[in-house]
Amino acid sequence: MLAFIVRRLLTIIPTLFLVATFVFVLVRLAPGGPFDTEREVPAEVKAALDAKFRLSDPISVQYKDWLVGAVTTGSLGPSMKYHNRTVEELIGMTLPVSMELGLWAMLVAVAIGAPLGVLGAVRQNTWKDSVAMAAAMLGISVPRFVLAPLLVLVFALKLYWLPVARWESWRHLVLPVICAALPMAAYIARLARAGMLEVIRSDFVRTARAKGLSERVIITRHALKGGMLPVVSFLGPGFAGLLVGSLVVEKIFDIPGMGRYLVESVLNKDYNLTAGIALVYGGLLMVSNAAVDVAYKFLDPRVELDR
Amino acid sequence: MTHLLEVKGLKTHFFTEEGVVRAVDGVSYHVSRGEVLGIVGESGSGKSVSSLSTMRLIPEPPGRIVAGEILFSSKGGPPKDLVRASEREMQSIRGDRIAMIFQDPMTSLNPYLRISRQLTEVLELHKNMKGSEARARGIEMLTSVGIPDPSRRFDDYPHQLSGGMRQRVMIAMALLCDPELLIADEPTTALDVTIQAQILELIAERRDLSKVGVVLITHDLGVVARLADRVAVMYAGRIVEQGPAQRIFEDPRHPYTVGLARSIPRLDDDRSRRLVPIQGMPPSLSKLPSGCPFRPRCKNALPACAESFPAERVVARGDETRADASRDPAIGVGDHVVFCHEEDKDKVQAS
Ligand SMILES: Nc1ncnc2c1ncn2[C@@H]1O[C@H](COP(=O)(O)OP(=O)(O)O)[C@@H](O)[C@H]1O
Ligand SMILES: [Mg+2]
Repeated sequence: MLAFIVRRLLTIIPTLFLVATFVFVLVRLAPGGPFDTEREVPAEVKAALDAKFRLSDPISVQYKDWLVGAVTTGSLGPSMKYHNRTVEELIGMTLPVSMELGLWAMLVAVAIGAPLGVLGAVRQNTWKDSVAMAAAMLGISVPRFVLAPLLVLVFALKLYWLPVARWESWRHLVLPVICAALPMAAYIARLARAGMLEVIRSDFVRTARAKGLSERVIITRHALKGGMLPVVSFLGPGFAGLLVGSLVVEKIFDIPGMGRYLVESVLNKDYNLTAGIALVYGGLLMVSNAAVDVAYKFLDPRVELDR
Repeated sequence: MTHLLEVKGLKTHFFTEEGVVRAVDGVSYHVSRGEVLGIVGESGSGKSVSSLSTMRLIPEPPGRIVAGEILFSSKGGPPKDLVRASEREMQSIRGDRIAMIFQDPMTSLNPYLRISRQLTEVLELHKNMKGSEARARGIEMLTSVGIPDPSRRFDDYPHQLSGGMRQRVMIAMALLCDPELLIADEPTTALDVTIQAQILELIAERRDLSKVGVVLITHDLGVVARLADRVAVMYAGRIVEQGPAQRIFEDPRHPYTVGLARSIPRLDDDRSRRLVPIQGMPPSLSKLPSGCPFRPRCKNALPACAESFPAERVVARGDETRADASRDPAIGVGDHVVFCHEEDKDKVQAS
């Protein structure tokens, strides 16, 4: 098992390398540079800045230096906008915030979505099923930039239960987490329902019924594992999507997460910061996909360890 | 005398958007302890639905048992009508007093659970047996159905076993609680021929050892010929002929039974009598023709066949058909009956 996990994680390295190369080159290919402003900058100042950030070197040399720095010292270079800050410092500050938001949101999404989907499947074509699935449909179709102001309006501005924005106490967490989680919860509910329905109709569940097991045991012991597989495989890309999607949430709730810095760095042409954050996103996506593979192995004994 | 299982006038219909599917439409049969009743018929004739009705495992909706009685006499007690039993009562009967094995051993075992768990849960539920005791009983059962190296196989997952071995596990699972009735729905259809013979052998052995009554469902008259004491022939949701196995094979009366018998290969046959498949297709169970459902395919159809489903006609009384005396006198005994207007015609002419 451990060998499988290690091997699976090792497969990430080449892909991550490709992602790094891609973003590094791409940000530099776009027209303009980090120190082009509306105001005319004296030529010698710009030259000094370019020299400081080595922008006058050929791109291949810049790339080589950056890569060597990243691999040997874990340094992703200085930020070109935030003076005297390195990219790894900025990521170190903002990633935990984004992760906290993302993980809580995922937890809430699973906690709401999975039981709702199972309920819908077990009570298929009853009013409970209809209500659950209508709610899920609504959750999927309402975008977060609509959901967020609605939540703020009701729970912060009308009921005064929760703060409008910022990132201070647990009470500040509630609205952004809900806002990030609801669309994902809705999607998970539909996946869980479809997965459970398929398993409930399967031959082995009929066998379980023929043994005289109660409905509760049939669902929990026999159907749940197989029925949740679609949800589990969605969690990998789903988590990455949540992090990227939290860009909107971070902006609206004024949360100092990584998403905001990504947007700003792209607008500022802060090459190093964009490349660094993109690399972290890519890495997170790949690690969460690897985690899904491992979870799959735990759930489905037919998945072979040695592929 | 009371039979172990007596099904009377069972009707199970499915209420679908395309109309009412009369999957089982007035079926009666009985099984005694230690007896094998073979139910034969083409695919779609309602064999599975009738057996699932006995277990009360018809998906509801769209299905419903609309008429009939399913009388089950457990431990020689008074007959209990399973059609009117509560879900709780059924749960205590399923897997304990009546067990079932299914057609496809590849999909009928849970791929996510070890065989050990799938066996011990039955013992936990019905026999209150736990831990090492349940384990020992499970391994003992695997041994008795002929699984080599049972204590190692016990902790395998189903996918680690071959199809034949999985069907043995299914049989072991069904027999764990020493049931009085075993319903085997096409237990060998998904297996290759040599394995088929072994599985049938195993069922025969269990019948002899524990006197379990068996309802053996198949579309293959050859399978029935090897094992059944009595045979019921099903067509389009009805039984069209029923009787002791020997009589059904030697003196089939219904044109459909005759057709079925001709369509099985016989090793002792001469070349001139080739396989003759029955012409035409079985009717849709939601759009049955009037009268006898076999009429559109029947070469001997009479005007009366379009008017009504034929009444039961006794070809031979049960006591005339008593099987050889070496076995239990109650086994293989029953009237040879047929539902066919042509038989009535003979009777009318004779009288
Ligand atoms: N869940 C269901 N819904 C609708 N029709 C069904 C359902 N289950 C079985 N049937 C119908 O009942 C008929 C008999 O099926 P079945 O008993 O499985 O046939 P057999 O076992 O003899 O091959 C078929 O026409 C089938 O379409
Ligand atoms: Mg069938």
